[in-house]
Amino acid sequence: MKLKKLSLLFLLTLIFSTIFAGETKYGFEIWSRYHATFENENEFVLTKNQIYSPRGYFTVEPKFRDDIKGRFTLDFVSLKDGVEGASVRLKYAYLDFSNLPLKNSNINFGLIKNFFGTIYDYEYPVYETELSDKEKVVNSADYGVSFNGLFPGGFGFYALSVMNGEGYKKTDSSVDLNPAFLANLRVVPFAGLTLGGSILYENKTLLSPESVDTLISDSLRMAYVGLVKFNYNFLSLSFEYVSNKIDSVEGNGYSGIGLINAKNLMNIPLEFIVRYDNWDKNVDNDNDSHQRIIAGTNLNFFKDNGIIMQLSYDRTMYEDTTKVDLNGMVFQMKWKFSNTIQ
Amino acid sequence: MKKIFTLILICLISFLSVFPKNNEITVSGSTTVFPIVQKASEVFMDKNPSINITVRGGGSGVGISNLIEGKVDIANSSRKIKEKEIYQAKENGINIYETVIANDALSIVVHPSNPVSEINLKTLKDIYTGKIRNWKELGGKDMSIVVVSRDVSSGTFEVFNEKVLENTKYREDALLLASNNAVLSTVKDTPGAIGYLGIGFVNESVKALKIEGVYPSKESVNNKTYKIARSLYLYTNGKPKGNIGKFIEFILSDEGQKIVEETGYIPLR
Repeated sequence: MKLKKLSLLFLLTLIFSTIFAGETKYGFEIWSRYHATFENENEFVLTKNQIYSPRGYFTVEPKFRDDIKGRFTLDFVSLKDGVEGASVRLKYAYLDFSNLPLKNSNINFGLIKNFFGTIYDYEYPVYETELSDKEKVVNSADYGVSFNGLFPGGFGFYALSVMNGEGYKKTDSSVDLNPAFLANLRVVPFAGLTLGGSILYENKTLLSPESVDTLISDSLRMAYVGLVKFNYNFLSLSFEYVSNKIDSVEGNGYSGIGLINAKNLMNIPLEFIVRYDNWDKNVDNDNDSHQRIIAGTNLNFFKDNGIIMQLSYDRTMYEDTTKVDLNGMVFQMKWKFSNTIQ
Repeated sequence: MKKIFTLILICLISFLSVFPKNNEITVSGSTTVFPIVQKASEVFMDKNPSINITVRGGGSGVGISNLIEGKVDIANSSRKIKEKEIYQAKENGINIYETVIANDALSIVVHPSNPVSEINLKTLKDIYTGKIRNWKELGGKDMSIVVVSRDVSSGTFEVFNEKVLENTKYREDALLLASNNAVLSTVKDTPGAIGYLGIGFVNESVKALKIEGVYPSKESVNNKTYKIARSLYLYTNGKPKGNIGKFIEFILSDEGQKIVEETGYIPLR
């Protein structure tokens, strides 16, 4: 039923954009992954060995006028790493209005990007999702409205959003009536250095799906992130600190990424990446944190990164000594293409 | 573990630093600016055989995007860079530096057999938005107007869109073509066609129209009487130095500006 609705929505978008849009861009992106996981208490034990496609995006971007655009993205996702088949869900469906009196500003309305930290422009230098996405602090898309803009001279970017706060994955089971408020700011004091931060506030009232008169929980959520990015020639470094506090329970952590782009040194389309994450689910509890190291290479086969081959080694270490540390090897091919019809 | 990673990182950086980039300059972007840079690069490489310059088209948007992503050294553009692009570049560690290398008159061209020889900006807008669809409405033959335009990644498209169409929607059956040469060829072969080109592409196979009573020319651009004039740009990461600086200095020199004139564009002096 859900698939039928999505198909209908997709078809309507195609028809609508073809008739009314001045031009429409279509794009497809597919990730195909081989993932092997080993536990290593005393010796390496293979616990997972799979080939699956964790993601497939189909995007339609109609441009109705120079200052009115739309974006519609379907997300084809493997369930439980492909073990339970696949599903289709709506990732983005928003209109972008830039015909505002304030220069270089725009309003997004619909299922929009979540401008929290780096989640909205994270480009997957390694196969894993960004920290706040991975640790389920926020989703990369949410229903709502966002007012965004640029500071003059490329000095920075801001976003003020009011969203549902439930993300795009949750479709049933509980109803949150209250909006989430988000403020995001990034400044670029000089080329290569970006400083930024976001704050998300939400009074979360969960009601029973059976009866909206039954209150399940009423809590206050405050999440924030601070980030630094440095880009110079072949070297890119980024660091973000994320905190997520629900009432008195706080989880926090950080993620640092270092990337060397050999293209700028030797004209070889190869990148070397190291990422280190640390996440503590509840800072007041012991034995619930973990660290993670991902190291790998990306080979960009074609210009505009049309095909990327990623090879990564991944190690997760748990504070809880009863849990076994995990080692993973991931080989992933990402390929994408797009075309504009005028 | 941390020590091992630090050691690997240091070794990697040292290893990669051993390989310097060779004497290659890569350029991409505007097809309008392409003839100037292409011709200038040929002359420059003759004088500097150790330097190799690769020039590609793609459109101004593509060139600027390539520069932002560090894929090229120089972006050609027939429009000014946008605020959003400056922000993206700065985030990527690219400090956008702009050099104006020539001026251009955006020329409105029709088939040589078309008796119409003059048009004003409002009429031009009406043609491109579909309000006027037959040449007889302009005192010409009873012939449908075929609207020819550049595609969306073109800087010429954006300048025309801004200066003539004021960002209103094109006629739905407008032909959107990927290069100035494609526009020239289509207008040349289609009696009812109207198109727009950089002045460097205008030749005797098409007829350039007067805009508001003024022909596109070096004089009318310099005395600012031609309404759809613009500058042509090269964008680099920071003030150009080394071989890139040498090449841009060459384009700005008397010899380079002579090439600008030879390719049909309007030199800076």
